Amino acid sequence: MRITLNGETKECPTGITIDKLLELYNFDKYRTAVELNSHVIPRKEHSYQIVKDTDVLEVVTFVGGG
Amino acid sequence: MEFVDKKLKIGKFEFTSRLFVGTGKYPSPDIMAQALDASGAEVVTVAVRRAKINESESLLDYIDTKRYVILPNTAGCYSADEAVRVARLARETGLSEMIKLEVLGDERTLLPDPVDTLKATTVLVKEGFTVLVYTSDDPIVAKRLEDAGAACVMPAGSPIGSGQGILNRNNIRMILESAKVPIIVDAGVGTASDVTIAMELGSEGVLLNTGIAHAKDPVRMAKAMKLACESGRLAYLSGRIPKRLYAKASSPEKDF
Repeated sequence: MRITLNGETKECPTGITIDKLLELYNFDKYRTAVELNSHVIPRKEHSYQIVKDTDVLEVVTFVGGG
Repeated sequence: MEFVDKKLKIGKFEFTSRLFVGTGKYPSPDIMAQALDASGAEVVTVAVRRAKINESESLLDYIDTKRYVILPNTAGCYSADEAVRVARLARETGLSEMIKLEVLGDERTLLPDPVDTLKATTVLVKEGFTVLVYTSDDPIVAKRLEDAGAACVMPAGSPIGSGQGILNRNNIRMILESAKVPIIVDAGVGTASDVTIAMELGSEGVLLNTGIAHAKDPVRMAKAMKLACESGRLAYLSGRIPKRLYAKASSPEKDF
Protein backbone atom coordinates (compact mmCIF):
# COMPACT_ATOMS: atom_id res chain seq x y z
CA MET A 1 0.00 0.00 0.00
CA ARG A 2 0.99 3.59 -0.51
CA ILE A 3 1.17 6.24 2.20
CA THR A 4 2.47 9.78 2.44
CA LEU A 5 5.17 10.08 5.07
CA ASN A 6 6.51 13.54 5.80
CA GLY A 7 5.51 14.66 2.34
CA GLU A 8 7.08 11.67 0.55
CA THR A 9 5.17 8.81 -1.07
CA LYS A 10 6.22 5.48 0.45
CA GLU A 11 5.35 1.85 -0.17
CA CYS A 12 4.83 -0.08 3.02
CA PRO A 13 3.36 -3.40 4.18
CA THR A 14 -0.42 -3.56 4.59
CA GLY A 15 -1.61 -3.65 8.18
CA ILE A 16 1.54 -2.06 9.63
CA THR A 17 1.23 -0.38 13.02
CA ILE A 18 2.63 3.08 13.73
CA ASP A 19 5.24 1.54 16.01
CA LYS A 20 6.50 -0.75 13.24
CA LEU A 21 6.43 2.04 10.71
CA LEU A 22 8.62 4.22 12.94
CA GLU A 23 11.02 1.32 13.26
CA LEU A 24 11.00 0.69 9.50
CA TYR A 25 12.13 4.24 8.78
CA ASN A 26 14.54 4.53 11.71
CA PHE A 27 12.70 7.16 13.71
CA ASP A 28 13.45 7.40 17.41
CA LYS A 29 10.08 6.78 19.04
CA TYR A 30 11.09 8.56 22.23
CA ARG A 31 11.97 11.74 20.40
CA THR A 32 9.16 11.99 17.91
CA ALA A 33 5.44 12.67 17.76
CA VAL A 34 3.09 11.34 15.12
CA GLU A 35 0.16 12.85 13.33
CA LEU A 36 -2.08 10.54 11.29
CA ASN A 37 -4.40 12.30 8.84
CA SER A 38 -4.08 15.54 10.86
CA HIS A 39 -4.79 13.88 14.24
CA VAL A 40 -2.08 13.58 16.86
CA ILE A 41 -1.77 9.93 17.88
CA PRO A 42 -0.78 9.43 21.53
CA ARG A 43 2.32 7.27 21.92
CA LYS A 44 0.45 4.64 23.88
CA GLU A 45 -1.70 3.97 20.82
CA HIS A 46 1.24 3.46 18.45
CA SER A 47 1.44 -0.27 19.13
CA TYR A 48 -2.07 -0.95 17.84
CA GLN A 49 -2.95 1.93 15.49
CA ILE A 50 -2.90 0.52 11.96
CA VAL A 51 -1.80 2.65 9.02
CA LYS A 52 -4.04 2.33 5.99
CA ASP A 53 -3.60 2.88 2.24
CA THR A 54 -3.49 6.62 1.30
CA ASP A 55 -2.97 7.66 4.93
CA VAL A 56 -0.96 10.82 5.50
CA LEU A 57 1.58 10.70 8.31
CA GLU A 58 3.70 13.41 9.82
CA VAL A 59 6.52 12.42 12.14
CA VAL A 60 8.05 15.39 13.90
CA THR A 61 10.93 15.94 16.26
CA PHE A 62 12.83 18.81 17.87
CA VAL A 63 15.38 20.83 15.94
CA GLY A 64 17.37 23.94 16.83
CA GLY A 65 15.20 26.99 17.40
CA GLY A 66 14.77 30.16 19.45
CA MET B 1 29.53 36.65 48.94
CA GLU B 2 26.45 34.82 47.73
CA PHE B 3 23.10 36.56 47.57
CA VAL B 4 19.96 34.52 47.83
CA ASP B 5 17.30 35.23 45.23
CA LYS B 6 13.86 33.73 45.00
CA LYS B 7 13.36 31.17 42.29
CA LEU B 8 11.72 32.02 39.03
CA LYS B 9 8.35 30.26 39.06
CA ILE B 10 6.53 29.51 35.83
CA GLY B 11 3.40 27.46 36.39
CA LYS B 12 4.57 24.49 38.44
CA PHE B 13 8.18 24.84 37.27
CA GLU B 14 10.97 26.57 39.21
CA PHE B 15 14.27 27.85 37.94
CA THR B 16 17.40 29.41 39.39
CA SER B 17 18.82 30.72 36.13
CA ARG B 18 16.88 33.58 34.60
CA LEU B 19 18.46 33.24 31.19
CA PHE B 20 16.63 31.09 28.65
CA VAL B 21 18.62 30.22 25.58
CA GLY B 22 17.69 29.05 22.09
CA THR B 23 19.32 26.19 20.22
CA GLY B 24 19.07 27.50 16.62
CA LYS B 25 21.65 28.82 14.19
CA TYR B 26 24.88 27.77 15.93
CA PRO B 27 27.96 27.07 13.79
CA SER B 28 27.90 23.44 15.00
CA PRO B 29 26.06 21.29 17.53
CA ASP B 30 29.25 21.05 19.61
CA ILE B 31 29.54 24.81 19.89
CA MET B 32 25.85 24.93 20.79
CA ALA B 33 26.40 22.44 23.61
CA GLN B 34 29.35 24.45 24.94
CA ALA B 35 27.40 27.72 24.68
CA LEU B 36 24.43 26.27 26.56
CA ASP B 37 26.81 25.15 29.28
CA ALA B 38 28.52 28.56 29.48
CA SER B 39 25.16 30.37 29.59
CA GLY B 40 24.14 28.60 32.79
CA ALA B 41 20.64 28.28 31.30
CA GLU B 42 18.26 25.69 32.69
CA VAL B 43 15.66 26.18 29.97
CA VAL B 44 16.47 25.78 26.28
CA THR B 45 14.10 26.38 23.41
CA VAL B 46 13.70 24.10 20.41
CA ALA B 47 11.55 24.10 17.28
CA VAL B 48 9.25 21.33 16.03
CA ARG B 49 9.93 20.10 12.51
CA ARG B 50 9.60 16.98 10.35
CA ALA B 51 11.94 14.21 11.48
CA LYS B 52 14.22 13.03 8.69
CA ILE B 53 13.49 9.59 7.29
CA ASN B 54 16.30 7.10 7.98
CA GLU B 55 18.44 9.58 9.84
CA SER B 56 19.21 8.92 13.46
CA GLU B 57 21.26 12.01 14.38
CA SER B 58 19.28 14.42 16.51
CA LEU B 59 19.65 17.78 18.18
CA LEU B 60 18.73 16.00 21.38
CA ASP B 61 22.01 14.06 21.20
CA TYR B 62 23.62 17.34 22.22
CA ILE B 63 21.16 18.41 24.93
CA ASP B 64 21.19 16.60 28.24
CA THR B 65 17.50 16.46 29.07
CA LYS B 66 18.28 15.71 32.70
CA ARG B 67 20.08 19.03 32.96
CA TYR B 68 17.98 21.23 30.68
CA VAL B 69 14.25 21.74 30.55
CA ILE B 70 13.10 21.65 26.93
CA LEU B 71 10.84 24.50 25.88
CA PRO B 72 9.43 23.77 22.41
CA ASN B 73 8.27 26.73 20.38
CA THR B 74 5.62 27.20 17.72
CA ALA B 75 7.95 29.25 15.54
CA GLY B 76 6.88 29.52 11.93
CA CYS B 77 3.17 29.43 12.73
CA TYR B 78 1.01 32.17 11.28
CA SER B 79 -2.37 31.19 12.69
CA ALA B 80 -3.81 30.04 16.01
CA ASP B 81 -4.79 26.68 14.50
CA GLU B 82 -1.28 25.98 13.24
CA ALA B 83 0.28 26.94 16.56
CA VAL B 84 -2.14 24.75 18.53
CA ARG B 85 -1.33 21.84 16.21
CA VAL B 86 2.41 22.27 16.74
CA ALA B 87 1.97 22.62 20.51
CA ARG B 88 -0.01 19.37 20.69
CA LEU B 89 2.66 17.55 18.68
CA ALA B 90 5.42 19.00 20.87
CA ARG B 91 3.70 17.74 24.00
CA GLU B 92 3.17 14.30 22.49
CA THR B 93 6.93 13.76 22.31
CA GLY B 94 6.67 13.40 26.08
CA LEU B 95 9.64 15.73 26.53
CA SER B 96 7.88 18.91 27.66
CA GLU B 97 4.65 20.24 29.12
CA MET B 98 5.62 23.82 28.50
CA ILE B 99 5.14 25.60 25.22
CA LYS B 100 6.61 28.82 23.93
CA LEU B 101 3.64 30.05 21.96
CA GLU B 102 4.54 32.14 18.96
CA VAL B 103 1.93 33.16 16.40
CA LEU B 104 3.49 35.45 13.86
CA GLY B 105 1.88 38.14 11.75
CA ASP B 106 4.21 38.19 8.74
CA GLU B 107 7.55 36.91 7.58
CA ARG B 108 9.30 40.24 7.14
CA THR B 109 8.76 41.59 10.64
CA LEU B 110 8.17 38.29 12.49
CA LEU B 111 6.03 40.40 14.79
CA PRO B 112 3.33 38.53 16.69
CA ASP B 113 -0.28 38.45 15.55
CA PRO B 114 -2.02 39.59 18.74
CA VAL B 115 -5.49 38.31 17.82
CA ASP B 116 -4.42 34.76 16.97
CA THR B 117 -1.88 34.71 19.81
CA LEU B 118 -4.70 35.36 22.27
CA LYS B 119 -6.91 32.77 20.59
CA ALA B 120 -4.20 30.09 20.76
CA THR B 121 -3.36 30.96 24.37
CA THR B 122 -6.97 30.41 25.40
CA VAL B 123 -7.13 27.01 23.67
CA LEU B 124 -3.79 25.74 25.01
CA VAL B 125 -4.46 26.88 28.58
CA LYS B 126 -7.74 24.97 28.45
CA GLU B 127 -5.81 21.89 27.31
CA GLY B 128 -3.53 22.10 30.32
CA PHE B 129 -0.39 23.50 28.72
CA THR B 130 1.99 25.75 30.62
CA VAL B 131 1.97 28.59 28.10
CA LEU B 132 4.86 31.02 27.79
CA VAL B 133 3.59 33.44 25.23
CA TYR B 134 5.63 35.59 22.89
CA THR B 135 4.04 38.97 22.29
CA SER B 136 4.82 42.52 21.27
CA ASP B 137 5.64 45.07 23.97
CA ASP B 138 2.03 46.30 24.05
CA PRO B 139 0.94 46.47 27.72
CA ILE B 140 -2.73 45.91 26.96
CA VAL B 141 -2.11 42.80 24.89
CA ALA B 142 0.24 41.50 27.60
CA LYS B 143 -2.55 41.92 30.16
CA ARG B 144 -5.06 40.14 27.96
CA LEU B 145 -2.69 37.19 27.56
CA GLU B 146 -2.19 37.02 31.31
CA ASP B 147 -5.96 37.11 31.82
CA ALA B 148 -6.29 34.25 29.31
CA GLY B 149 -4.16 32.12 31.60
CA ALA B 150 -0.63 32.39 30.21
CA ALA B 151 1.90 31.24 32.81
CA CYS B 152 4.46 33.71 31.53
CA VAL B 153 4.25 36.65 29.14
CA MET B 154 7.25 37.29 26.91
CA PRO B 155 7.31 40.70 25.24
CA ALA B 156 9.82 41.30 22.45
CA GLY B 157 12.53 43.86 23.11
CA SER B 158 12.71 44.37 19.34
CA PRO B 159 12.05 42.16 16.29
CA ILE B 160 13.32 38.55 16.42
CA GLY B 161 16.98 38.26 15.47
CA SER B 162 17.32 42.02 14.92
CA GLY B 163 19.81 42.65 17.73
CA GLN B 164 18.30 46.07 18.34
CA GLY B 165 17.96 45.57 22.09
CA ILE B 166 15.04 46.98 24.05
CA LEU B 167 13.48 49.66 21.92
CA ASN B 168 10.74 50.79 24.28
CA ARG B 169 11.73 50.53 27.91
CA ASN B 170 8.66 52.42 28.96
CA ASN B 171 6.34 49.79 27.52
CA ILE B 172 8.29 47.03 29.25
CA ARG B 173 8.02 49.02 32.49
CA MET B 174 4.26 49.37 32.06
CA ILE B 175 3.94 45.63 31.40
CA LEU B 176 6.00 44.85 34.50
CA GLU B 177 4.02 47.22 36.69
CA SER B 178 0.72 45.43 36.23
CA ALA B 179 1.90 41.85 35.63
CA LYS B 180 0.93 39.08 38.01
CA VAL B 181 2.82 36.40 36.07
CA PRO B 182 6.54 36.45 35.27
CA ILE B 183 7.59 38.68 32.39
CA ILE B 184 10.50 37.47 30.29
CA VAL B 185 11.93 39.71 27.61
CA ASP B 186 12.16 37.60 24.49
CA ALA B 187 13.79 38.55 21.20
CA GLY B 188 15.91 41.36 19.89
CA VAL B 189 18.77 41.04 22.35
CA GLY B 190 22.03 41.90 20.62
CA THR B 191 24.61 41.99 23.36
CA ALA B 192 25.16 41.67 27.08
CA SER B 193 24.06 45.19 28.02
CA ASP B 194 20.64 44.55 26.44
CA VAL B 195 20.15 41.64 28.85
CA THR B 196 21.25 43.78 31.77
CA ILE B 197 18.82 46.55 30.84
CA ALA B 198 15.95 44.06 30.65
CA MET B 199 16.82 42.68 34.06
CA GLU B 200 17.38 46.13 35.62
CA LEU B 201 13.89 47.10 34.54
CA GLY B 202 12.62 44.21 36.64
CA SER B 203 12.01 41.50 34.06
CA GLU B 204 11.99 38.06 35.60
CA GLY B 205 14.21 36.74 32.86
CA VAL B 206 15.49 37.04 29.30
CA LEU B 207 15.20 34.62 26.40
CA LEU B 208 17.61 34.90 23.52
CA ASN B 209 19.13 32.90 20.70
CA THR B 210 20.74 34.81 17.82
CA GLY B 211 22.73 37.16 20.09
CA ILE B 212 24.71 34.14 21.26
CA ALA B 213 24.49 31.81 18.25
CA HIS B 214 25.65 34.39 15.72
CA ALA B 215 28.31 36.06 17.84
CA LYS B 216 31.85 35.49 16.53
CA ASP B 217 32.57 33.48 19.66
CA PRO B 218 29.21 32.05 20.79
CA VAL B 219 30.60 30.30 23.87
CA ARG B 220 32.25 33.45 25.22
CA MET B 221 29.13 35.48 24.42
CA ALA B 222 27.02 32.92 26.27
CA LYS B 223 29.13 33.54 29.37
CA ALA B 224 28.79 37.31 28.87
CA MET B 225 25.00 36.94 28.69
CA LYS B 226 24.97 34.87 31.87
CA LEU B 227 26.93 37.51 33.78
CA ALA B 228 24.84 40.29 32.30
CA CYS B 229 21.65 38.58 33.43
CA GLU B 230 22.98 38.10 36.96
CA SER B 231 24.29 41.70 37.07
CA GLY B 232 21.03 43.17 35.93
CA ARG B 233 19.09 41.10 38.43
CA LEU B 234 21.37 42.10 41.30
CA ALA B 235 21.16 45.76 40.33
CA TYR B 236 17.36 45.55 40.16
CA LEU B 237 17.14 43.94 43.59
CA SER B 238 19.61 46.48 45.02
CA GLY B 239 17.45 49.47 44.04
CA ARG B 240 19.23 51.95 41.83
CA ILE B 241 19.66 55.64 42.72
CA PRO B 242 17.28 58.05 41.03
CA LYS B 243 18.56 59.94 37.99
CA ARG B 244 19.26 63.64 38.68
CA LEU B 245 19.87 66.50 36.32
CA TYR B 246 22.64 68.09 38.42
CA ALA B 247 25.73 66.74 40.13
CA LYS B 248 25.89 65.63 43.73
CA ALA B 249 29.35 65.39 45.33
CA SER B 250 30.46 62.05 46.70
CA SER B 251 32.99 63.60 49.08
CA PRO B 252 32.11 65.85 52.04
CA GLU B 253 32.38 69.61 51.52
CA LYS B 254 35.93 70.93 51.95
CA ASP B 255 36.11 72.32 55.49
CA PHE B 256 39.61 73.63 56.01
